[in-house]
Amino acid sequence: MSSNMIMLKSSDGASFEIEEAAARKSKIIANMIEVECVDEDKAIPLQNVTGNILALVIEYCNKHIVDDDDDVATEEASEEEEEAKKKKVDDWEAEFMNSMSLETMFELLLAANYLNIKSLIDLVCQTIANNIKDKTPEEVRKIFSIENDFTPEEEEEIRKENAWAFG
Amino acid sequence: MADSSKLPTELLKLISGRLETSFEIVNFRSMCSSWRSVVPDMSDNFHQLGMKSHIPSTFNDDDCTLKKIPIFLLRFNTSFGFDNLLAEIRKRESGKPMLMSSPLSRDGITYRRDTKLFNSLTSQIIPFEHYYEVGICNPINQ
Repeated sequence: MSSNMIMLKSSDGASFEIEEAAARKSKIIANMIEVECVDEDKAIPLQNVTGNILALVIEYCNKHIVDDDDDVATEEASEEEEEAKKKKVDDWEAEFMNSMSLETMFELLLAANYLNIKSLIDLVCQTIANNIKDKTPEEVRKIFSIENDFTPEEEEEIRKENAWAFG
Repeated sequence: MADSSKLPTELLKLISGRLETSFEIVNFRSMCSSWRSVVPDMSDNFHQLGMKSHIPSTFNDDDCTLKKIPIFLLRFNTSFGFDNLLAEIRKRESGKPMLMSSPLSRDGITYRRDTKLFNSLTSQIIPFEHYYEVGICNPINQ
């Protein structure tokens, strides 16, 4: 591919090369490219994203840039093909999210938010919501290391909210 | 270590927007004060939450209604060990606790006056499938 490459630098100093088209998935980077504040020889510093998280972001962007290209190239694709393609992306996303811990998910969400990558934000939010669905608050607090900071009054309110009449 | 309670409000809102049932919403509100503050109290303004299927939803036609009713499996601890219960959520009257009933005893015959209180904080709640209820209202209207 003849696409331009740009460099990204994580907060812990790791450098990554990425196709411009993939990097444009991030609105922030796309804007930087628009206003031409990207120097081809210099890496774009991303102060809020560590190397291991940036690697995941780039993996996601690379995967989805290919998908977007396909969409343009095969406009007349049949419904079945479209569906098969969507399933392929869904499967990839499921595996991608499955491969990481909840802690990583939170960091990935923060990074996606900072870089403004809408589809990745959606994906991570959905996965986190799915992960807390069938767990009790105590379990979720443990997993996400959330401190229970309720006052006794609030605790009482919560107790009431969680009381369900079964008749 | 990532401290998820420090997630920005707008991200917590996005996550809570993905929740589907009232159990999930009540649970989400029970985590900590920052999580609680992003989801409005569901007691009065159920319909303003924009959430899907936490109470039966009804599709109206001129002649019939189709009600989509979610079912849950409740797993809770008793002094004899874990027990399971199938339940569906009913509409609640204001000021009363949330109401559930068994989808297997819905004819009104088996309705019990001695309603038990069930605590969703200490139970595992697994969303099951939905079932549909068809009501025919005005067969020869107009």
